[in-house]
Amino acid sequence: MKPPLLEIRDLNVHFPLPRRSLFGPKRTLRAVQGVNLTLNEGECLSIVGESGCGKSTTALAVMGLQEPTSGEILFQGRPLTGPSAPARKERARIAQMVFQDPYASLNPRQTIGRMLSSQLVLHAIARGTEASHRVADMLTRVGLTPDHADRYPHEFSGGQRQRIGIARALMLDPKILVLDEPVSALDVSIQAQIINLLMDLQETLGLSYIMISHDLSVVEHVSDHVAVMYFGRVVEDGDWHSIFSSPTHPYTRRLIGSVPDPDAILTGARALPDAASVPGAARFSPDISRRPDPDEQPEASELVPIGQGHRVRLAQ
Amino acid sequence: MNGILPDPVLSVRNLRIGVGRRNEILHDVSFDILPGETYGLVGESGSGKSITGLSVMGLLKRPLEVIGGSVLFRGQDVLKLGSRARRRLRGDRMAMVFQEPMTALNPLATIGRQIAEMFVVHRGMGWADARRKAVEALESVRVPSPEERARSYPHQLSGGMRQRVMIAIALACRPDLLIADEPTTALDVTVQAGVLELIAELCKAEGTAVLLVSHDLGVIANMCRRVGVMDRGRLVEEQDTRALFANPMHPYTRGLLAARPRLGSRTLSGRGRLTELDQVVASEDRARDTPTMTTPRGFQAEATA
Repeated sequence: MKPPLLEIRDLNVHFPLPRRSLFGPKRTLRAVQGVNLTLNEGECLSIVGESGCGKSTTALAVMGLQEPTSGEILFQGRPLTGPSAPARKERARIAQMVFQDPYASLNPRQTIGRMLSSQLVLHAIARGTEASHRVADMLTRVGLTPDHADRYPHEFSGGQRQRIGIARALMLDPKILVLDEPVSALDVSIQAQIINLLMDLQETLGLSYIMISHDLSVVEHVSDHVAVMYFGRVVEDGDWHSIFSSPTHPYTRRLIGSVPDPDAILTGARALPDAASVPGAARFSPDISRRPDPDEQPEASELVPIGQGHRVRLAQ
Repeated sequence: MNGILPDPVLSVRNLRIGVGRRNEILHDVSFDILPGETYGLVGESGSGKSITGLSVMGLLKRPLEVIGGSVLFRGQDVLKLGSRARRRLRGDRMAMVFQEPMTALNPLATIGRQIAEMFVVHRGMGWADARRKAVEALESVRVPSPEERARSYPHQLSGGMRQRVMIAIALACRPDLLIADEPTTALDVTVQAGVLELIAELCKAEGTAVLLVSHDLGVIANMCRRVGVMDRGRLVEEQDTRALFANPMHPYTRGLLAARPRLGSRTLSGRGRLTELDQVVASEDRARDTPTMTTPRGFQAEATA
């Protein structure tokens, strides 16, 4: 069987915390704890959760921007971490990232054309006129015009800048795009355009996405798979439909329940869909009624299948 | 209809704001906020919703200036007041909650001191009494262990807690009008729900009117009784919330409602494209100098129910 495009196996990322006193015990922040995720070719995997739950750290580990404490990340069966990991330039052609704030991630002193073509030159793909042809192609593809190449980032609106961010990420023809809150800095009216663009590109270029978002309505619209993270662990994962039609973990239910929804005003209170049934008298883990201490050893728990490809974390 | 409506707390009439005297960026905006009412202003960035809020507070920065119209607060035109009189009003009778609590709070002062300052400046209390009141204020916004928290600095608190502190400062003197400019945009959904609930509850208890500025239609729908939609410096439509969502009149409002991805709208058959705003609204509909489309307010009884 062909291995999945990307596989994250038992990923752990820990950060040292300062000791409380000079002779106090060592403390660690367990930002990501035993995360297993699989991304299949042409799919969109979304990671949702509140800030500090480890979703961005997971994405940074995939990008090679954060060295994992343990665990491995495999791209088409080959490890992306550890001693046999590919070099940075090779990595750049596997996965690229689209950032949340398009303005902060563009160099204000470089024209768009220079920024885009410099990647081609660095990777010895194209130079000179050939490079500017490719830049013009890419700009048209993301809905801009070729003459935008001579402009600087400040000359663009927020939506256009995000298009440039997407063009930048696509220049090297990567297999995977990591989208870190791709639309949360944009206006409602622009969000729809960027989401449509991302979905079109995914189909025409056969891209696979890892999307990090806290906007559940966007996640529901775009994703194939959804993983819900809470304090460093995946508490529920499954295909988008099972997550949204039968959210089961109390944290998932709280997340979905707190999305402000205009339609609720018209129809009265919005009812959350029923949870899937959970085997036996098992208890959900972790207990969301209290905030877990990130330094504490987490309680033993495992992801238990409760439906077709739908798993939820229960205490052992 | 007017017979049963109380006098508005805030009445903005034909407000015009310009960059300098010449370039007008806010055109003839008029709306009323009744006592105890939560009024929402919704629109894209650059539509003028935030500068409307700032001009009511008198916080517009050069080169922005009010070039016409009036802002009647409890019957008095605040634009005609001197800067001292306005400063007395600000924080006391009208208060504001900003989007980013970390930049709005003073990083070098404890939060207890920043709340106490309100009582010292506006109520002439001594610092010792004011600090006791500050702890009470922290308790009212449900900050756990308020005594201890009053001694901490803004950076020691989480985003949600900081925003609660901002609300405590804003509501310290029990103002008649609270202006909340994107109060929960920087927060997580789960935290957002708690902060919005807190604003709604405290303002209802005190009968404070709220001007809520947001780009999030969901937040507006949950909080507001009446909504004004802004586009390109104009108030294009104003209706009661229910009526607005059930029956949007202006093409721009229809576009805005159609363009947002909605939870539960995806079907199993696959993911469709989202409707883009430009497909619904023709640009001439947005540029024309049309009067604001409004419907009268519904009965007050419905508002309190």
